Amino acid sequence: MALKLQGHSKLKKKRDRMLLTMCIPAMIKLFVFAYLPMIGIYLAFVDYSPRKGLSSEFIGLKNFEFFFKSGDAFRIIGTTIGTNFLFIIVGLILALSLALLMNEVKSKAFLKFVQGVSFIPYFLSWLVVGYLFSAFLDNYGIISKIISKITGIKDYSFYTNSDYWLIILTVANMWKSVGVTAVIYLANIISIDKEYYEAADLDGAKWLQKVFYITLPFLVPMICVTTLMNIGNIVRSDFGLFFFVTKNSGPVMRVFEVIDTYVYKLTMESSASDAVQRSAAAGLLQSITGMALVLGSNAVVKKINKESSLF
Amino acid sequence: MLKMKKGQAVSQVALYTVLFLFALFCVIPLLLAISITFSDGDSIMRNGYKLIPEKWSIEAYRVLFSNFTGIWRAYGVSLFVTFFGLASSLLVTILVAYPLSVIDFRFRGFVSFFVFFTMMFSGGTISYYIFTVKYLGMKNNIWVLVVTQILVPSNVFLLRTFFSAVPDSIYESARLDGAGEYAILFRIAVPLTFPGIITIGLFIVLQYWNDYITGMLFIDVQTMYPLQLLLYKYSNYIKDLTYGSGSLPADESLLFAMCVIATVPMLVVFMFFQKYFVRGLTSGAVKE
Repeated sequence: MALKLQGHSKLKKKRDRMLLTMCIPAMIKLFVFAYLPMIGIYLAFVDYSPRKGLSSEFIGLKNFEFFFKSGDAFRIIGTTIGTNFLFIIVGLILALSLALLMNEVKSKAFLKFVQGVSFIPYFLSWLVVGYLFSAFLDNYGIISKIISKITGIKDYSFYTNSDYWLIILTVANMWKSVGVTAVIYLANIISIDKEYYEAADLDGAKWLQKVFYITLPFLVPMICVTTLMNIGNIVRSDFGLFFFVTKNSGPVMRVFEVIDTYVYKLTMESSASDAVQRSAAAGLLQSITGMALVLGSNAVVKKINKESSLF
Repeated sequence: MLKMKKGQAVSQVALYTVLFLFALFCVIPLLLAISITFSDGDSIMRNGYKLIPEKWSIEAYRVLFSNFTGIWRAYGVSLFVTFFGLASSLLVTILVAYPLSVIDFRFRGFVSFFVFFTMMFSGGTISYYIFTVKYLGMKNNIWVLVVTQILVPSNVFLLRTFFSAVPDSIYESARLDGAGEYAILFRIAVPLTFPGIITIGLFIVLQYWNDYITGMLFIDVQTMYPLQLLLYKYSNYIKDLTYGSGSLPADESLLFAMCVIATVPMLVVFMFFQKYFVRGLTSGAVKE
């Protein structure tokens, strides 16, 4: 079809000009709120003083040096990557299992019910989710009361120490998103040609055999792509999960601080004189490694399945 | 044969049970919160939260509806922001997604990259904050809640796949008839991809309604708080609320009542548009 317009290069030029005008509002917005602030990356390399702003003294990589020497860096980066890694694996296993189970449901109404209900958490903000979870975890909480009874600790609250928080954060994260991910997998399972299963039935294949020899192999490309994309985002955390579900409580955050919460707190809550440059340095580090990982995983995705790559 | 059928029946029961428990797991936190809003304050103090209130009370809602003008103001702010956010963001997204679906558009690669790059790389929170506050002077400007959130790159790419799904020949024949690109977009592409547009619109509504970070960064005047920010800073309010009036609900009941009130609109939206959400989330992920 494109060929037809090639003969009309004048028309194509006019069309392209019109199409370009359509892009302008989006590009202006991104230019102002995404590209212009990139100038601020420079703050990571200066000894920031609010009076001087961008003309503060240039100190090279010193800020990064401080960040790493303070010992914060390795802990925070480790927590960020570690928790994300856990979420990827648990999320994959749970979502896949759920999708496989949903696929076996014969009753359309029941399936619709389960799907609808499992989508509800997706519509709540992390802020609200944080409060909802506190109804299980704070000193009046249902689970805390049980722990109080077992251990005899009066008014036990999960927010006063970092025990169990790896589990709590994982559960909260799964609770919020696994329903949606499962439905995405289910949509792919449904699209598998039924003939494979009919042939397998004739051969007397059991359910598990069909899962392992038909369904899962069919899903492998998608699983690889999703997982790689997630790995590309492994240095970025869900700010809401780590800030609101933990209620930003000191004892928990001492262990579960991630880059995003760290940067936010330096920006908004810190009165330290070097908060700006430290925040800038941590943010830049995250951005650069994040980009490298996205590009890297995209290159791998491209090798596996060209159509699924981002670019 | 009979034996096998019995086995199947058992596994069907197990299947339904597991999925039912999963569904329960998904709603229990919400049900617990609703129960707390109807619980009497004293019984919470004594025995903690219960899935079914020990002693019922509607005080929390009474106080919220009668004493608390703050939450209704925040409701207004959130409605305002969501309305203008939806209008502007949807229009901008449609406008940029369409050219990106035209395969031989000369600047396609450039614009695509321009949008995509912002997903990968950012100047960081601190420079975004300083730039918006110092250079744009948008601290405590209600439009900051609208403008900074216009255009989510992933929405652009999702909508582009909807536009690309329309057969090229439809666009081409309109072009050969001399139709301008704006006419093609709004008279042909948009009507043909209406479910896709609704999906994107819903994502945008959800994004604006649940946005807390923009408020946390840029708004500190109480009269401009959107709902999420009000919820975040609720403890400052609870004191005002509970000061000097007679029988009072527990602070927790009030808080959870606020959570429920803030969440209900999105659940209603979801109930009405469930179909579009499922389609939007699964499209692009499914191999044709």
